[in-house]
Amino acid sequence: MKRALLLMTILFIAGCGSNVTKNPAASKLHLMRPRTILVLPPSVIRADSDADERFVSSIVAALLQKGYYVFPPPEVWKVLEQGGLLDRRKGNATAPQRYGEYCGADAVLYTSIEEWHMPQRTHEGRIKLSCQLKSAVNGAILWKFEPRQSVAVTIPEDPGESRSARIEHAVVAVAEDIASTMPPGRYASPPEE
Amino acid sequence: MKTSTRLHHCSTTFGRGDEARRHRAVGAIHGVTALLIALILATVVAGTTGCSPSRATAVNEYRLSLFRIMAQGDSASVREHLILLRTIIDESWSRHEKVPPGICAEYGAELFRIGMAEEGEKYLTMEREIYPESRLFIHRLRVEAEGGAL
Repeated sequence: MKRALLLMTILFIAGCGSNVTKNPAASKLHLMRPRTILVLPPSVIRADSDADERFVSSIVAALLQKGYYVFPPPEVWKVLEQGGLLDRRKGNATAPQRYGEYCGADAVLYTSIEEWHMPQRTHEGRIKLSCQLKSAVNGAILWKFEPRQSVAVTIPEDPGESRSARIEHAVVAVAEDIASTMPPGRYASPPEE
Repeated sequence: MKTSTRLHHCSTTFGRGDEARRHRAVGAIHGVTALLIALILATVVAGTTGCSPSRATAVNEYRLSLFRIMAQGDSASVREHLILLRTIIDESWSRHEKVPPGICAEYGAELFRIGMAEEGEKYLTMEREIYPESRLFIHRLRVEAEGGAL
């Protein structure tokens, strides 16, 4: 009985640490513990329409759930455009340190939609996304998600929901899966009084 | 220290003939301690990695609204987004919780843009006070929103 309980405790502790050790680069993220994250517009290589908006809204929500202070994208993009630090037609060539100096971000999330295809008549789409979180202090990569291949995304079957809503559920699941490889942020605990 | 006191207490209470019972009692105490440690750890980890259901709902609604304003960007979606932001703020207050990050900033900036500078300032200040790390962002946002209102 005693040994079983001790074993359960050890397994529980080991299980708690698995999220951090899944991604080797995440150890840097764990050390730095950035509070604020700036999510830049994704660079889109090949995608259906609305893919970037779907991905950005889902990854921002996943990061908020994870406990990070994420600058609201529409607002911070306006701020960066006004400061000449963002030109969505030209892509994200600015160094992360400049974003940090300009708006106070601790880390900058660069994302890329390499493939995003949700065919009309099937229940399966394909997505290939990559993300890199860089320090706005020294430009170091704090965490990355770079799968080698595209992944199949199952669009849930539910006649009561529109296809758009069902695609959304699938994308949210992908974004949550990506964010699950990051350690929790500083605001992960329930808000305090 | 506590364990040795317990052992001493057990030996004086049970006597020599109850050696086996004493061992079982000590084992049970350790078992209960291990279980308590596991429960405390579970509570701590759930508290630090999780998200309260109310906040999770707010974040999910925010995600949907964010998608609409980015994909459509028309005045109707912006208006609905503004209403949602206000709802999240009010609900957080009614639960005596912190407003989630960025919400007061967005709400304040939108108020600035529609000419309600005084009210907008109130929410931008609120965001800066709740989340001091947003200080520089709020400053830039105010400058941008003021420019937009002119």
